[in-house]
Amino acid sequence: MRSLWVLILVLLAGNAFAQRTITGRVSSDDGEPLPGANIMIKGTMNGTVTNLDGDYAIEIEDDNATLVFSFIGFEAQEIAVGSQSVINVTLGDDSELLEDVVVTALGIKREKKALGYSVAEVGDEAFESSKAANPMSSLSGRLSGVQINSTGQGAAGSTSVIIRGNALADGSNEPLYVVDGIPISNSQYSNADSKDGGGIDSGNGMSGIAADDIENISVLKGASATALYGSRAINGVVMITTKSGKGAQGTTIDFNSTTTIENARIYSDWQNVYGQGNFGNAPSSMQEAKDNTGMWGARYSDVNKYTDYRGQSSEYRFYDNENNFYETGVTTSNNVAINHNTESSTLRMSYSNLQNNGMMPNTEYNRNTLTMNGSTKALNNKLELTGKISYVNESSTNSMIGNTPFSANLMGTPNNVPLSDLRNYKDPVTGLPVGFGNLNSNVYWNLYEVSHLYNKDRVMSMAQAKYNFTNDLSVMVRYGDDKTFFNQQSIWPIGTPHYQQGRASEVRAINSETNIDGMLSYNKDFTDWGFTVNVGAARMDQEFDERQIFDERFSDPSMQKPGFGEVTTSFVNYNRKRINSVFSTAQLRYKNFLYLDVSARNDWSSTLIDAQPSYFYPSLSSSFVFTEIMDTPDWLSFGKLRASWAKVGSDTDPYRTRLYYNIDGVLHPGAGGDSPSGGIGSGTVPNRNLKPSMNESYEFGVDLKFFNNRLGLDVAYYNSKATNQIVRVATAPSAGYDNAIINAGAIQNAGVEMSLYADPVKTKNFNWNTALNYAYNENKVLSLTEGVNQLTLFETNGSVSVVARPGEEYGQIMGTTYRRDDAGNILLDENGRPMVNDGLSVIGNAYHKVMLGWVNQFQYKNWSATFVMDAKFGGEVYSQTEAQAYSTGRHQGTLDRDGYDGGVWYPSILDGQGTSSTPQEFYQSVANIDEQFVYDASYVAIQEINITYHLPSKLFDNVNFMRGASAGLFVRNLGYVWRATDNIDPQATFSIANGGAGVEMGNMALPTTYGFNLNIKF
Amino acid sequence: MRNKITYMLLAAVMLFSAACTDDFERINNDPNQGEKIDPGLLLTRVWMRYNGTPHEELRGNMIMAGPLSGIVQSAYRTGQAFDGNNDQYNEAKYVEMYKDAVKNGVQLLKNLDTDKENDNTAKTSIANISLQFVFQRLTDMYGDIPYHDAGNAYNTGSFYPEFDSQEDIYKSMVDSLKKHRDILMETDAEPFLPKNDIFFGNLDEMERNKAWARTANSLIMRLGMNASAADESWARSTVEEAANNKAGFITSIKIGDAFILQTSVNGGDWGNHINGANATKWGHTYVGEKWLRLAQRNRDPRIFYVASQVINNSDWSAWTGMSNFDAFEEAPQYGEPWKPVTFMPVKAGGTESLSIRAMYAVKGEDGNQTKVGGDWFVDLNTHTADYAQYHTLTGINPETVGHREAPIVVFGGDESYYILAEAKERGWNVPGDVASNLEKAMELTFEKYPVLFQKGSNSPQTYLAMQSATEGTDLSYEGLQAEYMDKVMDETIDLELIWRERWKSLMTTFAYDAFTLWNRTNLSIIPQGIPYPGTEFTEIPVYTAEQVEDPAFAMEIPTSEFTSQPFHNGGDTEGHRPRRINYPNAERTNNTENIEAAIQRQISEYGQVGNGSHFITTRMWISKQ
Repeated sequence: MRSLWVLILVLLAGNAFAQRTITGRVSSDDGEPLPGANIMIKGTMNGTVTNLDGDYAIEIEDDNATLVFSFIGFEAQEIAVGSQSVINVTLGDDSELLEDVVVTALGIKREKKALGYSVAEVGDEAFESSKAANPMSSLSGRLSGVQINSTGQGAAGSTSVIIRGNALADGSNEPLYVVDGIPISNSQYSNADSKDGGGIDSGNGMSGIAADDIENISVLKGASATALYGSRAINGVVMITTKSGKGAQGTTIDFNSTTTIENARIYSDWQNVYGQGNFGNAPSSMQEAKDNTGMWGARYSDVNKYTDYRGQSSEYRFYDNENNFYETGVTTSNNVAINHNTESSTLRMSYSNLQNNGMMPNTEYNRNTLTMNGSTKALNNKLELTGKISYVNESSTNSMIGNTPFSANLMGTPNNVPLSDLRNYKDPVTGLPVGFGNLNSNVYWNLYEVSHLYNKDRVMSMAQAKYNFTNDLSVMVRYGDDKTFFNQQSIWPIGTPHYQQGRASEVRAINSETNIDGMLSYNKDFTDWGFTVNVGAARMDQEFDERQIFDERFSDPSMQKPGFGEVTTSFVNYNRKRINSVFSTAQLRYKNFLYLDVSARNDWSSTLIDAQPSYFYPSLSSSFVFTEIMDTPDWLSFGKLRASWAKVGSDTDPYRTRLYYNIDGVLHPGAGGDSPSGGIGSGTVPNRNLKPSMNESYEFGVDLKFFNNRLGLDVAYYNSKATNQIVRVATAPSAGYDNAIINAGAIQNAGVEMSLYADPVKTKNFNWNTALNYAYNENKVLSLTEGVNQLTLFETNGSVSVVARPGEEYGQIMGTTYRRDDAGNILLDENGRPMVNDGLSVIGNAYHKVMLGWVNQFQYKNWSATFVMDAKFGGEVYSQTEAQAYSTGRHQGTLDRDGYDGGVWYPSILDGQGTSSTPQEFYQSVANIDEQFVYDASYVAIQEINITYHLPSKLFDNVNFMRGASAGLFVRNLGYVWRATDNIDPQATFSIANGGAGVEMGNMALPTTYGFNLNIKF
Repeated sequence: MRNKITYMLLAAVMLFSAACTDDFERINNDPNQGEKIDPGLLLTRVWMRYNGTPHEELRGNMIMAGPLSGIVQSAYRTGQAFDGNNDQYNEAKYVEMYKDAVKNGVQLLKNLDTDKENDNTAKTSIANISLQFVFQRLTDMYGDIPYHDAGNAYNTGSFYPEFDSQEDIYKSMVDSLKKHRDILMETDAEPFLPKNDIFFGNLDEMERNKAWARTANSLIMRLGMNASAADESWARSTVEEAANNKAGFITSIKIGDAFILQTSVNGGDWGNHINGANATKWGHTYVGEKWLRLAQRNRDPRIFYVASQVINNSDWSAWTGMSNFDAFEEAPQYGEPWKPVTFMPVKAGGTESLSIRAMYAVKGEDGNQTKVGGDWFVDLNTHTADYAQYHTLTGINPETVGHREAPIVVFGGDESYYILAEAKERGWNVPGDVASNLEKAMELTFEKYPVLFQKGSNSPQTYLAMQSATEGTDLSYEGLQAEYMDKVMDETIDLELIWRERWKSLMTTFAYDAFTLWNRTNLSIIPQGIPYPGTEFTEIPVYTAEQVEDPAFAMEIPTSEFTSQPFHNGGDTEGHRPRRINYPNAERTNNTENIEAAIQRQISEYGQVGNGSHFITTRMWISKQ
């Protein structure tokens, strides 16, 4: 840590070694100044950039110097200085040179046309005008082949990113996040999967990054692109470059303020014909009201009064609780950044605050981010130092989703109980909950009395030193650290339904990841060809240390806190791993049309020390710009073919190779005294012979630009196959374990990605550019291993699970099905209720095959606007909410009961067949048949609309304290153009775990966000 | 320059290849767990998981096996409703036993076998005997199960074990028990340390070995007799061999002598140490209707320990606040007019909550009827004590048998003598005669209650005193016991009588054995099913509010008006009592071929009751046809 401060001091000091100053202005051929243009002294690493007015100043050592002026999209110019002291330059527009430079693995900058694989990029425009609390969720629809799912949690929630389908049968399919060249941790400390009492989604790695600090994001998709990052990049890499403050010289200040309001979207539309009760009768006593919370009572129109859960006579009528429950969420986010630039140094300090009051009563989330970064050059500009430190604090009150969540609880509330009654949730005398059902469930008790708090303190730091021996030879060393201190406290006070004696849980966790790498680079250019070679080594350390204390049965109501339970249990969860690596890459280029990249990497992972810790993997990619050497028609401005092949090896989690035992600390009374007990610590069969798994992939692509780059098409075909995977296959319970770790199986992902982009209108005042992204991914589990039927990915607390099965797609949803005759009719038992097949069958698949995104950007004078739509097709979701709505008679589908008069009736589910069952028994049986509640999760949605007004720059010519300003309005998640689900949001994910997308359990719908954004540059 | 680069490169590579796995051994060793464990700790673990936590005990024992055997009732209707598809109740005990008791037991055997430094002869035998208890419970509930290859995924890589037939399992268990019984009678190898031997740790070393031999021999008697309907000659030779073996059998109900598992609240309500069936001081379990009515008709004093109206005064306890009390006054049957009594049973039923506790309906002025059912427990916030005493269902007393710290009689002396009585009645060559064995068995059964099930509770004495006051005479447990036993011994003693008394004796905490007893005997007090169709509805009396406002204790309130109440829907079996618990989905999904073969084999070999519309109608090997 101390070295970091020294570095920062050095950065602040800056330096200068100059003889003579040249000044001037760089402008485009239409006379507009070009801010941020590059000026380099030829043959050195010295240079500067223009300020916002296009002005620059550079010191040269002698008159023989030649200055190179360049700017992306313009033709570079070289000008010999001679005796001039003012050099004004006009750069000509050069579409030929519009070759974007992209950041590739390990932070190596490359010309896009030289790449043999596809890289998707999003600039800060995606974050500038429409801020989302988790920056990844801004990217829905903007990147082809990248599937983004958010939990319905709101500001603090996790976002799942799946690139080109799921490669791993088991283990995380989330990409590696790299911020400014340093991998960060993507840990989720707590998720909604906990089946016992509902979980808290505490967000994942990206939830702590402020959108205002992001310069751009590029996504490396294929294995060739990511091979250099090794094992962890098997699912792709999301590379984030944060703002460095580069730009205008001197001190500038950027201020950005965003306010959004979030409106809950309610999709549930319950029947309002029948009230609470049993077999057609409204409750006539308090006990009946408590026993029968389902909507199986009388018609509202037939009965005026009933006896409610408090024993009071109440009006028997429908209340639209779902639509009246949610409040308007408000999120304010402010960011101030101070940039200070000199010729050789940059410094940026930024502070962001995000404050969210959730849509549910009494929920809050708060985030503060403080970042300082800078860079400087020293030792005659041969040494480049870069450093960064960020501190993020997140705190949350009561953010919670899952199966005991508020929405699910509201689901259980009879619709004839108004929220106004439920608000008196606490008995003033006993202090116990007052609510419906035998447990006195009340959603407001859960919101105001049960508390879930968490706090995360996270420090991310990095330092990099690069020394340029010559123009061609440099060495770089880099250190990065990401450390999070997490603590969570949950209290269920005495009387809480299901935990009547009270309970408390306290979790403290420290998670850290440290990366050190170093790289030697040599570059040589000859007339027609050139090459670059990088050789390096890296070490990664990950450590996770969690302690949990769990209290049950509070001894006294006056002290309902952790530590005051009659019984206290503690858990320890620790793991650590290290990967050491050496790697090398080489790029070979011939003229400006042929490029070849090779890379090789060897990793040693501590997790595989018992069998084969070392594994090697190579990659090869090539790019051929055929328009450079072939006569092509005028309308074809650019054409490139690319191909790549790569292997990526992968390790596993710690401690999976050995059998471990635990001892239970509490003593058991025995005839010979008290005895401790102990047993095998895990439900997973360890495997001492575990070997690394391999993912092999190839990719072909073509990149075409037409009509002077006004129209472009980028198509990629990829095929990747992960073999020898380290998976946890489900074992039979009778084998003694839940699952076993083995090297087995192969999963194949093959797909096509297509981006079509165009500038249909390009005039001085009005521009429209549009891009359509299409991705199709086909996933197949080729094999698991002999005798293994399936791999469980995700389990619910019911009979539904999400699995991988050999020969089928990844993510099959399994559940119970109707027993049918050969003609397909549902078989009924003697009671006229549908019969269930024994065991479970495939009832759907959790993953979409087709994704579409459509991004439109408009510019009219000082106005700009964006319109983003996206669509997904081909995946399914099992809805527990819908099943519950059948079981409790609130689903409109149960209104068929109208036809029941004690004899045979014809529910539409039976398609013409009659039953003599009572409707209540019939639909309660239907609720257990999972097949009935699988929905097509396809949708077409409007993700984002924004409009921004930029104050004309002329306004600021005479204002010396302000450089620019803009204001905008935006809306996110506006709604669905089309969806196939009835009462649920097809996008809201219950869990970001593998397969979690296939299950809906009382999820909150993703809210619609309306926002206002103000951006001022000083 | 070039040399320098080469040198630096080489140095970097050298540094890395030397250091690339340095320290990995330490990094990859979990600091919070151990790679070795004392075998004694694993033995304790096996027994704790045999007991189980409230999760699986509530499901396997109280919701499924208990109501299926008729001995207890549950507010959850799945078991008694003959519902075969509720996986969370089907799977709980199976999964817990295999994934914990079996897994750790198998590993214990493996570790003892691998350890060549010590003489593990006695320990191995004790571990083996323990495992047979575990498998007995599993096969008795589920029929054919994996036995020879179970729990061995780590050691043999057998992830999908084959299913063994129950016949093979029973015979293999007996072979194994005989072998280890005999070893323990001879060996002078050390058994487990006293503290790790939670059953016999109070005894000296060699006595411990003998005590385990005696336990093994007792289990052989149980297993042998369990096969009475399946293979009578094997049953006979097995029981005869064991009954006459020098290892002896369990003859008392004393802790440290009989095979009794103690419990404590260490580890919490959901921990491993409490009586699993009795979560949070009370498992919300009710006295089986048949058991209750038989006890009332025969003035059985066990009723004072077993039955109570339960109240939650900071903890579950036996309510004694009733103004009228008569434990022996029987509640009316369905279809009869109502009369207020102390102990109203939970009935068998399946349709909805009221079907198992309906008492009567009250007719309002508007002609609408409100059905009134018994409350699950006494709620004096809502009701007066006068109302509660006639309207609260009969729970298992949470201070005695239903206490979460009640000991668990895995094998008590009474069971030995019931087996001997039955064996003798069958004409087999075992010690004693029918009457003396039966009398001894009943004596021990009665003795269990004051000795084992009265942990700091006065409620049995209070109830007895209240009964004395009602009857105007001084009653004692011993006196009533003597009257009861005299009455039984005066009856014609036959197999049915022995089974009935044995069934009653199982009113402790494990209902599994009661289910096994029924399954192999079809003992007549628990019918093989309910008439179906015919029991979908039952009749309950209808009154005006005034008629039931201030009822006289034990006085029938006449009425000729009855209303219909949904009762039993026939479940998945068309009214036939299931012969087993269904296999869990987790086993069906992951071990498909083996389980399918086992299902088909059992259906074809043992047949199904009724028209076999559901697998749970399939008999086991031990089932009586």
